Amino acid sequence: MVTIDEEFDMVIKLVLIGDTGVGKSNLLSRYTRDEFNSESKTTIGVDFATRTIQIGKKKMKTQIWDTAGQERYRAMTNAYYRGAAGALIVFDICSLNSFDSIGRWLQEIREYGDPGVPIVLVGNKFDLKHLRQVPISTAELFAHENSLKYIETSALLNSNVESAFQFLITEIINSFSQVHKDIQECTPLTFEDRSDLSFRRKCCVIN
Amino acid sequence: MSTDRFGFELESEQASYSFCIPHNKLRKRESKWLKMFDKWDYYMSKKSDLIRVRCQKGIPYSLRGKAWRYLTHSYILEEQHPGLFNDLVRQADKIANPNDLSAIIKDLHRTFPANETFADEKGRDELRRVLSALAAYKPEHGYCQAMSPIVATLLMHMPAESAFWVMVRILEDYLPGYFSDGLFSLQVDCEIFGMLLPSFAPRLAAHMKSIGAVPSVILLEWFMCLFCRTLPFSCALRVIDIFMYEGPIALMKAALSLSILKMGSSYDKYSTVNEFYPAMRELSPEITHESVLIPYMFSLKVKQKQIERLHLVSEERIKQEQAATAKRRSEYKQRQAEHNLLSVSSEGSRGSTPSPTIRLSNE
Repeated sequence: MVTIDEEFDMVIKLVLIGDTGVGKSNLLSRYTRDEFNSESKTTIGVDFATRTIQIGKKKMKTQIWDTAGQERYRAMTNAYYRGAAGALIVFDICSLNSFDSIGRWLQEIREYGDPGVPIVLVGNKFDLKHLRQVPISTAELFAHENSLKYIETSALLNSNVESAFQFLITEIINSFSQVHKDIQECTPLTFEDRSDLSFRRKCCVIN
Repeated sequence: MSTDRFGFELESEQASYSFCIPHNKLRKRESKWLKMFDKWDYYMSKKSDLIRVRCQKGIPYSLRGKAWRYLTHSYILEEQHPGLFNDLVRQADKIANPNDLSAIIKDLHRTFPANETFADEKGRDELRRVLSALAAYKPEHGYCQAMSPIVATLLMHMPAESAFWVMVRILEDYLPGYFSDGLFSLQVDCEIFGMLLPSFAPRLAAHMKSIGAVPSVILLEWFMCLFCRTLPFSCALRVIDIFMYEGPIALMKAALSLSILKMGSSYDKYSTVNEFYPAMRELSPEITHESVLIPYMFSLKVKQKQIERLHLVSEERIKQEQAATAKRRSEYKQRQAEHNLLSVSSEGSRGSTPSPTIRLSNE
């Protein structure tokens, strides 16, 4: 769901889902505050954070719902998916178990979320690639079979975190633009510079 | 690093503001509790009102661990089962679900990271021992992540074995069905909260309904962690003191109080759930200080009988909801299966253009 706000031109809600310990909270803190904490506390229920971005001349507020990964919370999480404009499904490239759960998370979002909600599959902890258990080709094949985009990130090194969110937001804008032609002019997507934060964005290759 | 008297870094969310009870008053309270411990059965059976009032006033810090063990009667279980705790710790690898044990290990350094006890290897190992023993005690119940901050709170007040038995009482008698698969009782309590709120804050309740705000989004962490991740620690301990005597009704009163204190007059500033939920997480010291929250809790007239009556209604409602979910789920699976069959039959037509992938440029 994309809502129009007085202060912002658009407000969108994104959800971060995936098994416990895959790094969802750190992807969020990296994206919204440029922080990484190896000892962040366990998410119980849901946490929220926002970031404002600029798309063309429009100001957009992204509100991100960072959800608990433990399976038993799923009994109470349908409210989290309601109204989400997009989702990042996260797994840990060093944990085959977390990759095996992706199918269930996908089912969860497709069942409780809005139909056709854009989803990006994220393989996190790229910095630990020497411990990799999920080959890129396996993840890519899965993404392809399920019509998802796939990206690998490292919240620790601040690699591709920006791109992962950017990727999802672009998808959302594109699908939204098809309905509302007036914001088509907004593409291409440019993100506002955060002069208060000094970080270098990694270049990406889109193949 | 400077910490408060509970070992929390001063900048952390749980850090407590100073709230000193005069020394002589504290000594008096301690001697009253010591007197009660000597004749605990007598006080519990004949003077339980006195215990209730003293829990409401706050248990002196030096005696809190013992008081919680007495209030929950876990000390009896502990006496009746000598050695069981250590046996469970030793055999956890064989008995407990391996997924639970690995989840426990993952959570050790994520439980109160801002507290010096658990920033330390020794503190984490105690936490691991208690949680693994709990996962082994009832493998079918297993480990729920919210158990970790509660056990950590207990460990700040008592040895590992005692913490284990208090937690057993909480899981089995205080909050049964709260942490086990399906979280049934937790859902029931969230439903009860939703039914109680209109009688205490009708406008807030109506506003939440109109914007589609669901109490469980906020209540899950509050209830499951006994507020120990929500309130300054000294205030959370006061809520837990009351909980140990009164049971879950204490959590209900605390949740109603926080909601009303936070939103009672300012709810209309938040016109969407996207604004409302995060605002509910930002609780200022003017609300969460024990000198504000605890008296407010007792100004709310919530009756045990009323809760019991609502319990039946909400249990029924949750059961219906679960049945509806199960039905929807099986229909969804069936649709998926049919869809898959269709796609298999048209296999040749798909899969020519791979979905784009972003890779690190240095790969």
